[in-house]
Amino acid sequence: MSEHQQHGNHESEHKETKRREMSRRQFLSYTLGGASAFMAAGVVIPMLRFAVDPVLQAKGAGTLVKVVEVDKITEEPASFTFNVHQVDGWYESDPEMVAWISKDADGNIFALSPVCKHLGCAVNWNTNAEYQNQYFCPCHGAHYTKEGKNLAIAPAPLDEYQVEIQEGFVYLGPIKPNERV
Amino acid sequence: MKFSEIERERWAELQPYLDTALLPLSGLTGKESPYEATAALERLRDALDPIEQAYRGRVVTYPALHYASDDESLAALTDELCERLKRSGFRYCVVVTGESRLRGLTVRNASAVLGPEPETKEAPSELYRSYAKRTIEGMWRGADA
Repeated sequence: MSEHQQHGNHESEHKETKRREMSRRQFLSYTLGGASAFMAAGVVIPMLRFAVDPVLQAKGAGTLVKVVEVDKITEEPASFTFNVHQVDGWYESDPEMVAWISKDADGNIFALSPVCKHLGCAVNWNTNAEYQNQYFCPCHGAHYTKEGKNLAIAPAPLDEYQVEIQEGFVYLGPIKPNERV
Repeated sequence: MKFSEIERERWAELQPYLDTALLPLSGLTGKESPYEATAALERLRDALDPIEQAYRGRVVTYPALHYASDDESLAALTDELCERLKRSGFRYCVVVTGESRLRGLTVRNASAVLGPEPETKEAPSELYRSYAKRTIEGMWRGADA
């Protein structure tokens, strides 16, 4: 190896060593920046966790509510009231709900929502002489069959509750569109 | 439904169906302590709830009338308000109060005055619910017949 080459190598090594060095300014910037970010995260993360807490809570199995004994359900619809525990963000409430529960010709139990699909009044079973054995809305005269099929005024059938039978009791779940008609 | 639920754009479409105005009366005099005022408003809510839930698609609940110096001036003011509500397009004006003493209020322009019966144990009682149902549906049937 020539002297010239040796000299060149020494120079490049010297330059590389110099490039890897961190200046005092950079060191202080990184250190202070990192410490500030750490402290900011310490403040912000608990706040974020607090804000999204209701979303992270595990959903209870209690979306079904025990309403009535199976023995009490007949082919004639009857209304039953029950309370549902609702959690809306940080607001919790137990609104009272009503369901018209009956059996169909095959003995299957089903539950209808009493909310008229016209403008939201409450329907009743068999209360109008003109519409025998039908649900009737006292507000604008909408009427429905026992299965909830809309016969006049209302644009859609009555909604259904999800129904489950467990240990001799009728449990009702969320409201869903009517699948019977 | 409540007055605040009806948007300007939907009013023309809904107006033909919403022909009954509910005018709530809390019957306060200004002499009540804070907790008594709270209890009076809770009684009014209990009297309104069954009607609003059952007839949501035909009634509009207006803001409540709260204070009057005595029952006589309250009756006069309520009467005037009912007359104005009817003139604005409502066919019926139903006055609802949480105070049993105001059930007998004479309001000529009101289609009905509804309130709880004295010594109600639970609110709203089944007796009040059925009385309100009979009165309101009878009022509608009578006019429709």
